[in-house]
Parts: sequence; structure tokens; C-alpha cells
Amino acid sequence: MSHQHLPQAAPGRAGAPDASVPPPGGPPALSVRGLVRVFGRPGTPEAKVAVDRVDLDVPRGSFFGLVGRNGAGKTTMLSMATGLLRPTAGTARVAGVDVWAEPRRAKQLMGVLPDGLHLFDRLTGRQLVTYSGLLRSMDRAVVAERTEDLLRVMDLLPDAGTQVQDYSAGMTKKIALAGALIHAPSLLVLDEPFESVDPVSAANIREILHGFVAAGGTVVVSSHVMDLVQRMCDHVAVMDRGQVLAAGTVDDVRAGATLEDRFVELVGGRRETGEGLSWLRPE
Amino acid sequence: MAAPGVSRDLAPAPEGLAPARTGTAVLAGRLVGLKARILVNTLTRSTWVLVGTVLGAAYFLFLLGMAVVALFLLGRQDLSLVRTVLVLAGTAATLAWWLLPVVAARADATLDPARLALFPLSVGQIQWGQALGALVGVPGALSTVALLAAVGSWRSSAAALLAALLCVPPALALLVAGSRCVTALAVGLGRRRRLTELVSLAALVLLVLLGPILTGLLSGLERLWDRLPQYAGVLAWTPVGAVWAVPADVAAGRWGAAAARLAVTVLTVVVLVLVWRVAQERALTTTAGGRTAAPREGAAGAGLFDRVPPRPWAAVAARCLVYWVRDPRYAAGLLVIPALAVLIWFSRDPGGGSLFLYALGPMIAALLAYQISGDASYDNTALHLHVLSGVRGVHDRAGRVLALLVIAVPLTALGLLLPFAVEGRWQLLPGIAGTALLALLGGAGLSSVMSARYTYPVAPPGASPLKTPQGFTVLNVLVQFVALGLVVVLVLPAAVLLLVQLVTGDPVWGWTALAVGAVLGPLLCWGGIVLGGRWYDRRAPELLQEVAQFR
Repeated sequence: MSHQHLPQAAPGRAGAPDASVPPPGGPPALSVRGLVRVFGRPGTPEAKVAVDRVDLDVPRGSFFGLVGRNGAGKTTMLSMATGLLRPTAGTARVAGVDVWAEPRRAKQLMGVLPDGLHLFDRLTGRQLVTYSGLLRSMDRAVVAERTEDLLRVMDLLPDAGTQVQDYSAGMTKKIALAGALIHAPSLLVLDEPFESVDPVSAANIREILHGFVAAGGTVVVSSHVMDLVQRMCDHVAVMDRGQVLAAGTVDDVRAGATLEDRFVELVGGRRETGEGLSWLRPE
Repeated sequence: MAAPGVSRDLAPAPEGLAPARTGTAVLAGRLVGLKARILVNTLTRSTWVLVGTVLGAAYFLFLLGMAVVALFLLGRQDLSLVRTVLVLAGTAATLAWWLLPVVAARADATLDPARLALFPLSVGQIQWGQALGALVGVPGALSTVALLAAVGSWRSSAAALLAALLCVPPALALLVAGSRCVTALAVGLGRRRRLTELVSLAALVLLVLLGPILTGLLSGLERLWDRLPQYAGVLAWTPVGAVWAVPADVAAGRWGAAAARLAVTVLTVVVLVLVWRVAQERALTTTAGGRTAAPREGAAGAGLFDRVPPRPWAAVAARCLVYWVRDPRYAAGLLVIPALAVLIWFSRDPGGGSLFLYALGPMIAALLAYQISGDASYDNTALHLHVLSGVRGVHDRAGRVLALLVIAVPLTALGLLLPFAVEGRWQLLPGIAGTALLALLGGAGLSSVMSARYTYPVAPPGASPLKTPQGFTVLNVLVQFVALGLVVVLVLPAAVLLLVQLVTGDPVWGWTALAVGAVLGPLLCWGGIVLGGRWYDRRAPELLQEVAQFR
């Protein structure tokens, strides 16, 4: 972790010893420096800074949670880190490979599950996963074998021949995740992977992700479910209004409190409830 | 550039609908107000929409003016003629009211019961609101004015005039009840996605064929003209035509007939309202979770993907082929082909000697090649998969062109040979084949460049191919015009040589045209793929951002 780059270091984490981070060999799995994204023409009144000079390091082999409110800039930041959205300024490196200078090399290392984007949903589930593999010039036999494995662990085999547009929201998430895993990436970037996924499937997915991390892979998940992040991740970064407010190991960031309390404290903006809607009670 | 989301504009204003115990009239009034508000908001959303609306309104007002004048002049005619004309016109208007909402893929979903299901409203209240709401809006206003003008056509008989005036409310009820009933039924059908897709495709074919059908009818008009009174006589006893003939009966003193026709109309309205009510109740109670079991296919294997070479370009081609077949937005492009053939067939000179028929092959080629210029737009954000997996631009472009060729080559060949089989003059084949080659391959090259750089809004994934996409800018329209102009320019080298052959009669020119097509076509296609691929590589993320805005 290179803390000196964090614009607003969290007080609770400032003195944390770096020894808690497993000493990684080589560059971080994901490293972001001075990342900025302005929507609209910069300088005009309509310009909106979605991500504001973000520095972040995701250590190799970590299970990294990115938390923040809706509109905090999580998706925009991850889109820039994964090559989907060109940054206004700044760099993103995956295992030392610049995502925007050597996109193909960087993209080979990454598996990405974006949130809220269409899929080629007139393909069947099996076709979609196969397609993801073939697009990456993978060998057909390998693609076929991995596709069946992925469909099995995602519990999607019975629906493998159904068009993805007929899937439920949770099944759609799972098939997209399968497509992101097919090329065995070393870094997984998942935007809201558990949204509308049923508890059993979520547990299965968590198990897969933990296994992946245990095998030396790195996972970045964005979420606004603090509880989940606290239980699942070993590292966390808190984003708000386009900036990283705190980053480090989960224990460092939460500093004794629950992650949720710490998050609310960092982000602020929570008003006294109970006073506001005095009439809101059953008659 | 992004148009504000429709859903936001259409969200019903809740404050007026919340109170549970409000009179039906008041609530219906509020629903009408809501509809009017939505109309105004839609029109004033952007300057360009407003300009378009004003132009459209001017056009419709012109049509309405013509209709009113015609109806006024009709009043001077003999009553039997008035009867024939009004029964026919009235029947046509009724059918238009009933069927257009379905053809336009449920264009007017503003007071869609599904949107109102959460509010404590009774079915009857919603029905009243929808019925009155149907009259607020362009078609309602136009129809009301035309209906009143039609009343004036009966002015030569005072009794008929009075009867016509009394018939206006039942006539309006007939129009609106039928329209809402059919819409409610269509919403029920709409839950079954594939059925909706079929219906809208069929509607599209019907729309395209409307021209040829009308031409065919017009050519037979001489004979038809004498039979019109007969047709009108039959229609006057059908539910859709009865109400329009009542004044004539009154004028002639046939009271029994008048009463019977009125009874037919009232009965029709009652039945329509009841069916509408049942459909509505079902729609209100089954709003959520309307997912139906989907058909399975090939339990094992990935279909086409198992048979193509394991290379990115082949995968892209396989995926595109699946879409050409499964996605109604592409299927619509294919369905235009037979329609085009029929159109050309009807417009040809029956005596022979017309060259128009021979344009079929090149036209099919150009149309299909142009279809993939919207490929990136059709993908919408699904394109992110190509960006994430780092597919090379050349592979992306080549795959799309390959899929196009698999589809277009047989169709173009068919369109190329068919006219010769019918009319002969085989000496023209080489020249026209050269033109078609240029149109197909040159067009594919052009499309490859276009869809990497100049996108235009199309119906988003999952939407009806008839849905008007949002967010058209002047640039989008300009791009399409320029592209169509370029297609013509691309075809020119071969077309000019073909023309020389026609003038001189020397077949050498035709063979030269074929040679030009065979050399220049692949070159243009390859050049387009390479250039388009390079542009794609340079700006794939920006392309993704662009097409993400098409909703």
C-alpha cells in the first residue's frame, strides 16, 4: 500500500503498520493514480466531476471491497480501471500493465463484471459464456470444458439452453460472472456482484471468490452493503463524492467500530431519524 | 445529447391519484389532466421535438382541412352518395382507431393500467379516465372535428342532420371503446414476448406492403367504383359500419332499420367495454411477474459457436448470425426484402421493357449492407463485452461483415437472377451483377467504417423494431443521408458502365462493369474493415459511451 498518495487519509488508518499487508512480490494487482473523470465539457457549468483525483492500490491476493453511496463514483472509477471508460486524467495499472497504454495485455489479466449494462441476451447462457471465451482467442476444447464447469458451479446447467433474456436478474448476474471468469484472469473486478442474487447463489459465488483469492487471485467488489464487505473482504476503500476517504485493511479502516458505523461517520450526511416523519405510523 | 428518460416523464403524478374515496368523475378528470400534462411535457421536452410536432401538426391540420372541405362539398350531393361515402370512410376510421394502437406497438401507454395498478383506483374509474384521455390528444381532437364535419354532410335533410348529431356520442364511444379494448388485449398478449415480436413484425410487413396493395387496388378502381354502394350496404350492417348509416335511414323514414343499426352499435360498444373491463382487471392483477416459461433449445452444445473456427472474428460472425435470425430488429431488415420485391413487381411496366425490375439485386445488396451500419447501435451496451475482451477492431468488423455476407449473398443472387428469369435480356446480367457486387461489398465496407465512428439511434435491445428510438440529433440524420449518398457514389463506377452498355448495346461494357465490381468491391470492403477496425481500436470506449445513450 502506498498511503502517501491518498488525498484524504482516514485518521483511524493513518498510523496503521504496513506489516499487516501480505508483502506482495511485484506491483499491486490494481494500481490507480490521479484518476479523474469529468462528465460534460470541463470548465463549463454543466461539467460534473464524477471521480476526483483517486489514488488506490489493490494488493495482490487481496479481497478488496469498494464501498460508497449511490453516485459516489464507484462504477465510474472501476470503468476507468477496466478500460470501459477513458479517464479525463490519471493512470490505471493492472499488475504493472497500463490499462490505457497496453489495453490488450491488461485486459487479458482482468475479468470484469460490469453493472447495469446489456448482455448479448439473445444468446443462450451456454452460448454467451462460450462467446466470451472465443472472443479472447481461447482454444475451443478449453472453452467448452470451462463453460460446463462454470455453468455447473453457478447452478445454471438446467437453463444453459435458455436465452439469457429469459433469465431472472440473479441468473443474469451469474451468467455474466461466468463469462468474466472463463479466461482465468488474475484480477476480478466485480461491480455489485450480489445485487438481486439469491442467498444460495450468493454463498456459492462467495465460495468461488474465496477459493480464487486463496489460489493467489485478487478480487475487487463494489457494494453498498457494508455488512457483506466486512464479512467477506480483507481490504476496503470508502468512496464518496468521487474521492477515496479511507483505504486499507478492513480492520484498520473500521478501527474497532463496525464498518457501517465507520462508513457513516466518514461519509456523514446522516440525519436524526424518527423526528422527520412523525405521522408515519399505522393508524 | 441523451434524452431524458421517458419513464421519468411518464410517471403518474401521484398526489392527484392518492385519495381513495373520490368520485369517478373527479378521478377520470384527473387522469385526463395527467394525460394532457404528459402530452405537453413530451412536446416541450426539447426544441427539436417541438419543431417536429409543429410540422406534424401543420401536416395533420392540412389533412383535416382537406377532409372538412371534402365533407362540406359532399353535403351538396345526393343522400345515397353521402351514405356510401360516409359508411366507407367511417368504417375505415373505426378500423384505424381500433388497430393502429397495436400496429404502433402500444404507442399510447401513458394511462397503461400497469402503471396505475398501485393506486387505489377501481377498474371503472380507470376506464373512464382512459376513455376520456383517448380523446385528449392529436387523434382524438382530429377525429372529433372530422366527425362534426361529417354531421354537416347530411344538411340536405333536416331529419338526417339531427340523427347524425345524435349519433356522434355513440360513434365516439365506438371508436374509443374499440381502441382501448384492443389495446388492453394487446397488453395481455404483450406479456408473451415472442408473440409480440411476431405481431409487430407482421405489422411492419403490412405497412411496407400498404403501398403495393393500394396501387393494386387503384388499378382496379374502375370496376371497384360501381360496386362501392354494394360494399357500403354490407358494411352498414357490421358493428364497425352500422352507426354511420343511421342518418340515411332516418332521412328515408326507415325507422326500423335505423333502430336496428343503432342497436348493433350500442351492443358492440357494450361488448367492447365488457371485454375491455375483463382484460383490464387481468392486467391490473397480473402486473408483476408476468414471465413465462421460455422454450429450451439444444440441451447440450453451443449451436453455431461449436461449428465456427475458434477465432474472435468467427465468434463475432456466429453471434451476428444468431442475431440476424433471433432479433426482430434484424429480422425486420430481412423482411423488407420480400416487401421490396413485391413493391418493384407492382411498379414495373407490365408491357416489359422497363429496367426497374433489374434494380432488385443491387437494391437488396445495398439495403442489407446498410443494415450493419447500425451494428454497434444495435448492440447497445452489450458491446462492452467486445471492449473488455480486447477484441481487435479488424476482427470485430470482419465478423460482422462475414455474417452479413452469409445472409446477403444468397438473397442478392436471388434478387439478381429473378428478373432475368421473368423478363430475359440475359446480356445485362454481367453489368448488373457488377453493380450488385459493388453495392454489397462497397456498402459493407462503408457500414464497417460508419458503425465504428458515426452511430445513430436505433430501437434498443428487446424493444419492438417499430419503436422510435430516442435522442436523434441533426448530426445523426445528416450522417444517414451522407451514407446513403455515398452508397450511390460507390455503385456509380459499375452503374455508369452498365449505362454505356445500354446506350451502345455493346456487351463488353457490361463485362467491364462486372470486372470493376469484382475488383473494386473486395478492395472497398477490405479497406472499410481495416479503416473501421482502426477507428474502433482507437475509440472503442467512446463508441460504447455513445451507443449507451440510445434508449
